[in-house]
Amino acid sequence: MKKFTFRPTPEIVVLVVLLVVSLLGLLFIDALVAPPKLLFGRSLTAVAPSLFPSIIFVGLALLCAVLLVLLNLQGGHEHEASLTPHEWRRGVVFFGTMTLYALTMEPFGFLISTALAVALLTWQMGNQSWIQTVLLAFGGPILLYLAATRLLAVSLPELNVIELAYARLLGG
Amino acid sequence: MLDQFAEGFGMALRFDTFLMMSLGLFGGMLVGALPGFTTLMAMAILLPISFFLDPIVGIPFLLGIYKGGIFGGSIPAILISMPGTGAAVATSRDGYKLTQQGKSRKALDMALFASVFGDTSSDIFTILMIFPIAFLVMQFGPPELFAVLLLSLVIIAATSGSNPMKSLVMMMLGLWLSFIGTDPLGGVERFTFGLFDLKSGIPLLPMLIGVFAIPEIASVVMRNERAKQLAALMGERLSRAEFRRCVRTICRSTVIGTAIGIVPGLGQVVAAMMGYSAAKNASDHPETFGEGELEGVAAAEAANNAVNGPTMVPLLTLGIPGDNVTAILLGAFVAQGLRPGPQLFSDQGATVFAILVAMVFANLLFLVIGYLSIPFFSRLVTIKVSILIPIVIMFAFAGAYVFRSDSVDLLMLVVFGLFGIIARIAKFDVMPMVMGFILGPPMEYAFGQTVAMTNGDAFGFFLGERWGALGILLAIPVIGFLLWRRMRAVAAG
Amino acid sequence: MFKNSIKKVASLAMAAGLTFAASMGAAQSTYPEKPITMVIPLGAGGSHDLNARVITSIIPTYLDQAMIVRLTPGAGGQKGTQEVANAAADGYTLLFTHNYIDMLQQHVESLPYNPMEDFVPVARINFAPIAVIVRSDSPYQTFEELVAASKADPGGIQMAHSGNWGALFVPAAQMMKALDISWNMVPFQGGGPALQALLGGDADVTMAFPSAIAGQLQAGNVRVLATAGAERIYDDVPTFAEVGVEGDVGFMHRVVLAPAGTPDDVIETLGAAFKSLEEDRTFTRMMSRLGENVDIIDSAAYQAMRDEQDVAYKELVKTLTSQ
Repeated sequence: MKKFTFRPTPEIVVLVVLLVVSLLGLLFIDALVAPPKLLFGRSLTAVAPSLFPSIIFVGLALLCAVLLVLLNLQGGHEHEASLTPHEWRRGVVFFGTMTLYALTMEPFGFLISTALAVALLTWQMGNQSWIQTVLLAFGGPILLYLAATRLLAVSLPELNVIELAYARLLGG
Repeated sequence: MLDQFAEGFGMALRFDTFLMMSLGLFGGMLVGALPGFTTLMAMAILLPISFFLDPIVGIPFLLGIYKGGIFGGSIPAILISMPGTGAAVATSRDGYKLTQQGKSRKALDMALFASVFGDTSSDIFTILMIFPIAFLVMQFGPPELFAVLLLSLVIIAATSGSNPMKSLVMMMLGLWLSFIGTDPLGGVERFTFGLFDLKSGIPLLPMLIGVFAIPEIASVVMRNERAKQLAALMGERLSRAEFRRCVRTICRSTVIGTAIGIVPGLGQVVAAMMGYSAAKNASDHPETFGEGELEGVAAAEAANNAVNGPTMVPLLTLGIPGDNVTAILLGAFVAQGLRPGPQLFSDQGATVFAILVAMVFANLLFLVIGYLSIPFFSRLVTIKVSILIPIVIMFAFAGAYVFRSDSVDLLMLVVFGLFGIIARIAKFDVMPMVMGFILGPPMEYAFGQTVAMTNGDAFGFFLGERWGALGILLAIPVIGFLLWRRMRAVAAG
Repeated sequence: MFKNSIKKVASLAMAAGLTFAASMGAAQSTYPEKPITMVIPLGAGGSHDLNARVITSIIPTYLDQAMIVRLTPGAGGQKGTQEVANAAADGYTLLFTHNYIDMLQQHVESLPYNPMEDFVPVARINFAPIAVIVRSDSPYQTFEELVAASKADPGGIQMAHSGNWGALFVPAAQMMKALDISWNMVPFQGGGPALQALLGGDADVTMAFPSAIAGQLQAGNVRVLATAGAERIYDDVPTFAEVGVEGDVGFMHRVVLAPAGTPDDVIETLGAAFKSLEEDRTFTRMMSRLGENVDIIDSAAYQAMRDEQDVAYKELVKTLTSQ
């Protein structure tokens, strides 16, 4: 009898999650996918919107199940060096900064949100110089914003106050 | 026809044409290097300028932007693993590893040479064979497109990464992600959970940046506190020997890319991946692909540029644009009084040939421009990480926003960044997922069209009219199995 | 030492901020003060995009400010439309759309906005009538022959359209209803691929705007069987009304909308600027090269058309999707 160890390596966890999700998806497919519309009593599309998703769910579930069995039979993997708590903390701070950036860009405008994010990031990466930080945090977004909106004619979110300031700066 | 060509050739040799093309190439390269700020946008913005220029100057100008942009997209893909388009994904694989090994300049050089070679060859081929290509293009319809896309997905799953089954799992996940939003055929909502923000689906660019670039950046942030730079040096130029080693791959990729360019609806993404997969399969050391193999960069880049030539054919011979870029070119042509379509060559043949010839020259010009610009770019990775990382993040977020002018995309960027890190830890390869995501919708659409066309009689339809598609469909399991076996043999031996 | 430099930087920033604030206070409000954004809810490179590029390259001379195009495709046009519906009604964000998205979509889907209440028209730029076309080697020489063949083989004739409820689909559905025939509707990603399908033999009939088929007609590759509109576009081709399809069928109007609540004088200024495009020679020349006509209708006149469309489309969708 082969030893059937259950080691929750990240790989296995991901596979289990995918398996569960695809099974749930199959079960609830009618709630998740809207029914096709009708024209003259016939369906508007030749292929039902739920066909491909169903196929994918079935395929996913099968593959995950097979892989789980195969991986378990193969036994343990070499224990890879995992991250130290210090590294984890740095990762969390990094993602926190990015999430903050994502949430503040629209309400605070590009300049302020970017300045904040850049300052946090450069500080986390070990920059000690105030001048560099300020130059980077303000110079960077200002240059990019002007280039993007004036040269490339795309729009970035910005507070009305600051936008008018730019317009005045460049001679309105 | 031949005298029109000769006349056109002479018309193209103008100083202002070359000047504007050079400006376009350089500008396009810069814009293309900014993920999210697509060359498509740059072309659309500069389109009105071309209205007021001579057609022999204005249209090559736009073409220059386009070609410069394609290479430009490879620059962040190689330097910081941030592909801005699906086509650059395959390049970022080996390209970034090379950067990490201190060989960023070699990688960029190879990308440039391969791109120029592929593009020039395919342009010349197109000029010589416009009408046969036009005929071939007409033979392809939705059934053939569906078959080829399915085949591509199978090949990608079988050849990328070390474990085809895990790749397949990721590909299916990518396919499912592509279903979120509105169903392409009927316009009904799928998996949106009632959220309006999901109604138009998951945007590609934030996913690309999140899944490819963020994990790499996070890795630097988390682990390499001591490291001052992303890469110690930019390295030397590409050596002749290294280039010669890859010539066969480049030629193969060029043929693949040109062939894929003829099939309407496939595009650069499929070309890059097929070129890459073919090179990996043909190589006697496939395990180096993905770990910093110059041949991988060459294969992907030559293929994705070789698509460009044939793509112009439906535009020129029918007046029908095949994608957004050719649509803008159509606008440029039309605004200049050129009428793409069946009459184009008989009425205005000389001008058209002049433009096509200028296109070939653009490639050669770009060889010079690109080569001179590369040292600048490759040196960028040697900037202190404390300055480089914040700037990269700023560009990433700005680009993600600009893509759809939607701040929800920024959150998607972060979420996919997390996803990319989890995939890494669990040792899953994200490239098949992205490919499934990109190729899923056109495949489903082509399938729906095919079913509509069969009108209930699938058997008769395929056997009677579309045996080409049927042949490909039947070949898929065979090809898939053979590739799988080969990859397993290589992994074991 | 540090403290000193912090203080310096802080006071500099304060001074800069105050200067900016002060200079803004003295501003006068004459519209437009800054560039205007024109949102297009469709993808890049389409005929809509091209129209917009021409407009935005000429209109700055009449407005003294740039007009920037912002493409916001997605959800069949809903994404861009919703963005403008939610934008500030100050005249700096406009929507460039067409009547099928504007007035028809609300009856087919549940939208997060109300086109009638949330938008006010600025100007209609042009309109385009659609034409029914077949390949020149097809057995149908006239529209009547096509109808007869369709009745003999219900659902057998393949009609290529550009997407559900789009500019090719709606007239086709109206025709099928009016003439009691049934075609097999095969979707394609836009008018271009639909035309290509016809030429390649994948479809038997499709529709197209005259500007798109001018070259094919000249080369003799396609034949027009019927056109929309009150008058004949081609001398020997009947109009829809003549072959039995009555009513407002087959017209696409390109129109500029502004969020409801935009001040009247702003709308007037914009309307006047758009109206002057009609007289601008460069504009008319470029539009004619694109194959589009120029027929600017002002806000009030188009609003009347919108009211009519609203009623008509509601009826249309009801009859088409009932049964």
